Amino acid sequence: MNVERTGDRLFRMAIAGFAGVILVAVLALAWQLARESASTWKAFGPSFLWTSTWDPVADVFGALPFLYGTVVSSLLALLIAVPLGVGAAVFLTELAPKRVADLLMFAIELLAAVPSVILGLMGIFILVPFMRALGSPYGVGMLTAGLILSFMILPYITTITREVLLTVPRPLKEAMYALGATRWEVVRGVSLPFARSGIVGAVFLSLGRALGETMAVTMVIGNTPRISASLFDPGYSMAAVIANELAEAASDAHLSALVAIGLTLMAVTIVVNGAARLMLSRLGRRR
Amino acid sequence: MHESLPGAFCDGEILLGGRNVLELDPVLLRREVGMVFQRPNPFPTMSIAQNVAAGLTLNGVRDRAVVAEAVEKSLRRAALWDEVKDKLAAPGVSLSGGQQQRLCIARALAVQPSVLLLDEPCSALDPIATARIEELLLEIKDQLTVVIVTHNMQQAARVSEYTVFMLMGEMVEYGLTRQMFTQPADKRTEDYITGRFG
Amino acid sequence: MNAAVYARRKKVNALMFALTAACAAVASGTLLAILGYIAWKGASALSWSFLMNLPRPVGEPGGGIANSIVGSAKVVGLAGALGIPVGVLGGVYLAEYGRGRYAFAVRYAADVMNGVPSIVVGLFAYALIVHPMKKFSALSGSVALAFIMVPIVLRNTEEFLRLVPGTIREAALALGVPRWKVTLLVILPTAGRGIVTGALLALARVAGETAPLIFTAFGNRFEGSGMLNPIATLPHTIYTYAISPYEDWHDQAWAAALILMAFVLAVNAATRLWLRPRST
Repeated sequence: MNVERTGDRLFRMAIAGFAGVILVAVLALAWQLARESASTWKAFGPSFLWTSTWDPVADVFGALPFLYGTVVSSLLALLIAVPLGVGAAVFLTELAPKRVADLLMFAIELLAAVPSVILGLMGIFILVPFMRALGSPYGVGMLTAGLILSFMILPYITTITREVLLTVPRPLKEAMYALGATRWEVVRGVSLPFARSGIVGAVFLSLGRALGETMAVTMVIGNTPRISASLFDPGYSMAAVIANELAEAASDAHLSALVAIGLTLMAVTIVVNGAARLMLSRLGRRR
Repeated sequence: MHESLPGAFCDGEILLGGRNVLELDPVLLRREVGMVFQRPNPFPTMSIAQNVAAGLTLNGVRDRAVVAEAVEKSLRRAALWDEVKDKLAAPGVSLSGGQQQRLCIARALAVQPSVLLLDEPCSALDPIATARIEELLLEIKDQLTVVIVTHNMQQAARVSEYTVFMLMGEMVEYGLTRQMFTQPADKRTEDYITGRFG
Repeated sequence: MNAAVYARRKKVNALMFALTAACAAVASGTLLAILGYIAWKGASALSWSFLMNLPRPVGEPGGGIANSIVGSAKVVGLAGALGIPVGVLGGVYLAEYGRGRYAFAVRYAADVMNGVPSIVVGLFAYALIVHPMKKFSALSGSVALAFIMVPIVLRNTEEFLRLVPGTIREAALALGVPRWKVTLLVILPTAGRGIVTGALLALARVAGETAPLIFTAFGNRFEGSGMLNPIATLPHTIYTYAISPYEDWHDQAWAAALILMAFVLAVNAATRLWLRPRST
């Protein structure tokens, strides 16, 4: 019984091999980054993450300004995009006629497909002059980066939130309507609480994207490794410093420090994405 | 086939041409035994002709003339030829439910099995389509062994010569159809055919 | 019921929905704004010679981006040739045999890879190919993009194969066809439309990727020959032109952006419309 023919066994083993490529790739990726950054961890220890001198000439490296820039610009983006995205999703699910909703969703989903270098281009030539007109000394800076990032993650938040809102059981909503609630009260009292873990999942997923985004940020954040209290001031991000300096990294120590930043960035995004998947799968189980 | 279902098991033995089928290579066995399922399941990406020929072409028959002949012969045996001979290139899923089921029978016949296994082949069909299939089964039963699973007693009485009564995976009774329906040997068979449970 | 309270509730209702409508307008209007602006800025710099010529020195008119278009096609094409077969066949494995611990690990790895920032994937390709070869190359860029494609294609293929009804598989097995043939010749084509769509979307996605190419494909002012030399790509050219101080390079960046945008959006819109009417 259960005889597997030779051809079938070969086939299964071959495609298992193809599936394994991604497994090997992830392990090799982590191993490569760890190996190439080893000298940095050895030289600076974990304090690499909380010192703020970045001086490639003197071979002194501290990643704090980049961590700060990445985290702050991403949080700014969430601050702007989450209310916008959730609001848009509520409108598109609860109020808009289906045809209109479909059309607008189409536009929003296409927005997600816009290459980030193009968002960066828009940032440089529209947003930067605009920020300057608002009184930002340079135009480029933390807030500008946050704004561009918010446009990038807005489609994710809208799409996922809408999908979650669509799964709210009708009887729940009808029960609330039967009590004489207005549409908004039903949204606030039933739909949004029901969708909460899905929305949190969407937020984490978007955070993962924002943290790792390179181009749009590099082009508008100002690329200055400095921690400044003002959001108008230029900053730097982890992805941006890799993009700017890796190709020109002169010393091995510099290269290793950049890879160490890459490893840190990868670790952070894996944690954030893991959290997102956890939230979304919890939702799937409840359904 | 049960091997691809988790949790299924079997014991005992089934002899086909003197060999226990449980010890045969499943792929070779499936060529010997044609199967038709509860719901018609033509391959959605293939035309009518390609559907019928699938068993041949997938097993490496390249000769166009051989394939075309087999297609016509199988469709004739499945009593579908006259209805589809002008649209052999139309998708298999464009046919009606009853036609699709006959297409599936033609597909099974094309590999020239010695046994044809039908699992509730009419339960998804209307009475007229059911009648066509039963007619067809009566026609082809001279050429090969037909095994049909059904919960419809009238159907069993109409189309079969021998009947096996199975209950919860156990073989209760086996015999000539006429005898079983008139003088069942087992109490449970009697209860079932007289409608006391079921 | 108190009429004043009710009136207030109605007002809140109207106000909140006006606000959400504004949110939706911003979210969907952004695309139109971007499209319109790029079309306006890009069209003026776009011309036949722009598409067919190599870049010229700053200030000299008539420079083009032919090398970037060819370069993008080469890099993305090779990435697809590497990434799509791996993704599709791996997806077949997950859908057909994906119950055990190994499949779980593969799925997990795909999710991790999908979330890893593209710049980190570029770093990987750099460490894997550029560093040992001591040379930027089109190949290293393709490898980076392929790593980005594989998890997307893999999970998409698995998803669409799972939609193929089990009865199709049974019907084919019942004809005495070996399982590997059933999988490749019957089941895979049944899910074909969804799988092709997924592969196209993945191609469009990596065609717009810039970050992993900066220190792999690197860019080139000339026609990069073969796959082992630095090569210009469309998104990377947009980037370098955009951050340059030259006015005419800025114009060219807009024109190049128009081309990239047209390609990416055309693929996205077309696949969506193609999948919509009757998805199999």
